[in-house]
Amino acid sequence: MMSALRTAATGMLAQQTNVDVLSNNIANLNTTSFKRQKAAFRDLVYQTPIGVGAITSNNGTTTPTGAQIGLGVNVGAVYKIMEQGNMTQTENTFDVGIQGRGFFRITLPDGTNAYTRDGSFNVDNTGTLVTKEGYAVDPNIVIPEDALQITISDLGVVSAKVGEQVVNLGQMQVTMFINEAGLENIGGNYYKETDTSGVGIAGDPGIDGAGSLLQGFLESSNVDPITAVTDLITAQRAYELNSRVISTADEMLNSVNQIR
Amino acid sequence: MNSGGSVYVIASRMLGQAKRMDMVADNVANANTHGFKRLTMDAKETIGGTPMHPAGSFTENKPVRIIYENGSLEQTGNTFDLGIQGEGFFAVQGAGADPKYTRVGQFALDVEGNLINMNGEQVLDVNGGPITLPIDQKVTISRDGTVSTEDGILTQIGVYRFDNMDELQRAGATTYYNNPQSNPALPVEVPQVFQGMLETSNVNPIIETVNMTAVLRAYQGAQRAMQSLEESETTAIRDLARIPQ
Repeated sequence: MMSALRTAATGMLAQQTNVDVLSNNIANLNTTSFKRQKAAFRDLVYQTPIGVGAITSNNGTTTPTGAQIGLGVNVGAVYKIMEQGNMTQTENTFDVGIQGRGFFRITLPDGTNAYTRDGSFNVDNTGTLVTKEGYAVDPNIVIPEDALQITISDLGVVSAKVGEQVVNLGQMQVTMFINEAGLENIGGNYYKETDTSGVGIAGDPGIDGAGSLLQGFLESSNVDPITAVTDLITAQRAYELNSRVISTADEMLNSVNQIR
Repeated sequence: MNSGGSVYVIASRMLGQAKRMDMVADNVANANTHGFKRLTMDAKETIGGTPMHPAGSFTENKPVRIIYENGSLEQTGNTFDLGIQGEGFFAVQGAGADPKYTRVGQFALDVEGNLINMNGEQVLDVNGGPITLPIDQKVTISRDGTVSTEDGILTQIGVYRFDNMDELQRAGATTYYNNPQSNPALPVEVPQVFQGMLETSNVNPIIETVNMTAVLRAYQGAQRAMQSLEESETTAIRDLARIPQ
């Protein structure tokens, strides 16, 4: 039986995964701080009917190239592209975008930490700075009830005018990871630290390579619609070509069946 | 009547075409695999044959060759995505393994700051050592593979070539093995490395579609030849039987 049929099937499956990844990117075209993903393909093992350097005579002549035919393709990885998204102005006091590397650290209800670049924050009934889901920003920032004109500087210093005085309310931090692409997506624009991402290194914004903050802005999704659509077309055409291999191989096998 | 040999000659053609189809399928399956290099196969004639048909001339498949033609570059914007144009390969090395060579420059940093590829193998510099990069600085990789930050030059990514490209063996995961004795890796003098780009597969859909059609028609032709051979045998047996004694 020809391996062409199964090889083409691996090609179709790989392109299906590719379309899944691409459609998730397109679906998140307008998701704040979304990082697009990319499927990385790699070729599969090889059959070697003739090895390279196989001896072809008693005089020591050898085959110069051999014959290796591969058995198709698989998805080696689906990885995040951490390219900076554009900054969109919102004029919201508690919207904070990160320009450069790093994530806000968030305390989840179970006490563990998650990380996000989505800085669309709010204050809860205790005045604590929280995410849309109500998870507190770590380190905690508490805004007094009578605070006016809250300012978040590019270095992360939160200050407010209380009465006639300007009060320092705390310092926001950003956490960097050596391998950001190794963070685990847990949905809701949150990421979790993993063994591959490395341990998060928290620091003040704008210092030692950490990104600086921008109040009143949010980071847009880094999905580029043009690239997304061209990638989708490429994936679809590759899928079609693979299905053509299957129908050709099928015709070949059919013609074998016609031999009496 | 001596058609035994002919059947084998035709069968050898069909088997050869089936193998060629396997190759086309592999090329097509990897039409979107970064850094993939397509295969090609030529048929050759083998004189000799069976005891029944000593003058038979068979078709046999020539070795499969890898076509190292450049794929085009695709922009990804990732700091550690690197594409090579022109000759050369990146060297990657797993723990305790021999270096392998690849055109896929899809790299990342591991927890220790080592530059690794998607299989977790370390990327090697010009001296064959691992590449360790700082976490907190913007890394720039120039055309010749020089890695630098604002503090200055750190290292240079190794780009290697081989005198005998035909001797490379595919090792899966879009990597290649060489024989270090007979075909050592040599540094490319003027590498062309592009940061934020990946080299796409060099599989050409037109070539593969033409190949597929050619394979199918050759296969069907052989099948028809086999059929007419069979028919002529039937006729011969029937007509010979009619000859009066």
